[in-house]
Amino acid sequence: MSGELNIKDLKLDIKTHDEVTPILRGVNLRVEAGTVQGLAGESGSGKTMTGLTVIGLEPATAVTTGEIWLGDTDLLTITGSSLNAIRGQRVGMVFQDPSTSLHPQLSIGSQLTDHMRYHLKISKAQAREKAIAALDRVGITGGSSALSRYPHEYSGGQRQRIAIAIALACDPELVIMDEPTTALDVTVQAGVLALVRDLVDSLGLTVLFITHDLGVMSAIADRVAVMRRGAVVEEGSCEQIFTDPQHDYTRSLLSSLPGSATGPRTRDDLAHLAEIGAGGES
Amino acid sequence: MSEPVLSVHDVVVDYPGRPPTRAVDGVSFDIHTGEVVGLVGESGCGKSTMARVLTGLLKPNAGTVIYRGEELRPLGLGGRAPDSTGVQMVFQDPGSSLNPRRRIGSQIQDGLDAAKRRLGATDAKDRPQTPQEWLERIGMDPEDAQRYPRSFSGGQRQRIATARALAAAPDVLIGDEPISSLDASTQALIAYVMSTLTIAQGAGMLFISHDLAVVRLIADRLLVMYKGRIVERGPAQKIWADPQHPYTKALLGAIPLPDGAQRMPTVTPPGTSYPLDEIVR
Ligand SMILES: Nc1ncnc2c1ncn2[C@@H]1O[C@H](COP(=O)(O)OP(=O)(O)OP(=O)(O)O)[C@@H](O)[C@H]1O
Ligand SMILES: Nc1ncnc2c1ncn2[C@@H]1O[C@H](COP(=O)(O)OP(=O)(O)O)[C@@H](O)[C@H]1O
Ligand SMILES: [Mg+2]
Ligand SMILES: [Mg+2]
Repeated sequence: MSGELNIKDLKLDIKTHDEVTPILRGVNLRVEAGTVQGLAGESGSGKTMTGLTVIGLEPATAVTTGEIWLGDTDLLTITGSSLNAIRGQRVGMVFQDPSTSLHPQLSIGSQLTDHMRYHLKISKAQAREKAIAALDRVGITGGSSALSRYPHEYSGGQRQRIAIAIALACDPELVIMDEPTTALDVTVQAGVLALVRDLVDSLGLTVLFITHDLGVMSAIADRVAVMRRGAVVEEGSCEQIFTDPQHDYTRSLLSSLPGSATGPRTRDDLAHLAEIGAGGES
Repeated sequence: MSEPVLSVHDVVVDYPGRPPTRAVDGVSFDIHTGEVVGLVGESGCGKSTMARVLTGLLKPNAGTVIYRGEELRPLGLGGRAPDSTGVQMVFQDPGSSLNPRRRIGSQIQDGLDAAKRRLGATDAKDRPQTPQEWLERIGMDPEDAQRYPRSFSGGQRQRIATARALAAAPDVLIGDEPISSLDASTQALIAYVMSTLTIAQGAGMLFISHDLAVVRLIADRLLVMYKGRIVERGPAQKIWADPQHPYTKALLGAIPLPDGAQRMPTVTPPGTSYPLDEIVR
């Protein structure tokens, strides 16, 4: 089915002149089309690298093996201009910091229309019309006047909405979102999460949603995968991961988190946790 | 209750510009010895500006800060006024609290020296008197004194920054988002460790954060800040359980909890504004 993502035994090494560093050690993950797959795990475990490899943006020093199926295409076998066609068209990406996705000196309109004209081979007028619709879809109104504005004229939450609009502009099947709400205030974050959910439900979009914030994860993800040291160590429904975690790492993560089923609820709970040295810090 | 150790009266701060930005708009509160006061609110509401006023780094346009019964003198040209080392600060990024090029032992020693200068013979002798003793107090190895900040995790660095600040024997420790750059799994624990160490040293703490889920666990009292004003204040658990101000309600409702229930946080339309009246619980 289109939009289904199936990562099979993905390995990635970083090769420098005298060293090979394994980063991904065999990632396996199947994401059903039209769902939000959460990806959690400790810093450095390979979440971002997995996302970048799916869209073909891994570092030049990386050597990969395995398979990444999007529908019936193995993305890992695609190179050159065919890869460019897939990147941005069939797969979109949203980063933590909207300034990574948005060019500060180009108007919102030209960023959107250049992107669409390149991938969709449509006229300028058609692209402008589609761009206005794309902005409208993420709650940025104002029509053609919105197109002539620049990123700095928008707030952080609006910029992240615009980055999402660009990622969605060419009607991709899959969007990778890497910590898309981490830089936002909680009230703004709530709006962006609702937008993502709405887009998934209305467009049948597949989303790989990377986040450290397990509260955010719990709100947005249908299923959750937990990574550690370059591999997925646990995968399950959102409910199962949060209420009945199987892996020790997931368990210890949740037991120190305020608001989780097994997390601290009072100051005394924290005192107890500090005593037993939980949380992996000493 | 006893006399507050630090007391803020009607502080106003404007940053120059056309038009000027009113970052703090008439804020008053007290901090007492042995209590943790949480200051919460969203980005840009004026929390860090308030922290800079309390440490004497910024002179308010109006209002006063009374520290130990006297008006706090803002930072002069010759460096910090000697008495203001009694208010110490730990920042969000452990990198900006600690000097990356100096061994952590000598940085903790700076704190001890500041205490000696300020308190002289009146310094209580039951406090750790060497960097090594401080490291033990924060649950680290005395040998770590020889190491540089970069070889520690974020959580360890915040403990070290706390030790350095507390070594100066402050009456008040101000943490400006001190856990925001840490892993979620260690945030609550480091917040707890920082606050208990502070209380054990007989100081009070102002804990600034936008993360209410953590703050309500360690703070005794809460101040909710919105557009430069305090809009709700009271016991932390009470506000968490039963917020009264519409802004506090929106803030609490927007926090997604890690319960696996796939529950969407409550969305407030962009551009919503809230009344600026204060609710005291
Ligand atoms: N451009 C790069 N070149 C070489 N190694 C890299 C590069 N980017 C990341 N790495 C390494 O790959 C590993 C995985 O990094 P990755 O960014 O995927 O982690 P992550 O799970 O996203 O962590 P975080 O939660 O901190 O964002 C880390 O050991 C990191 O140091
Ligand atoms: N150095 C500065 N110059 C001008 N404006 C500033 C400066 N620092 C902060 N501001 C403004 O003051 C307001 C409060 O900022 P700040 O105290 O940093 O908030 P918070 O710490 O709650 O995020 C914001 O509108 C911010 O843009
Ligand atoms: Mg990452
Ligand atoms: Mg701040």
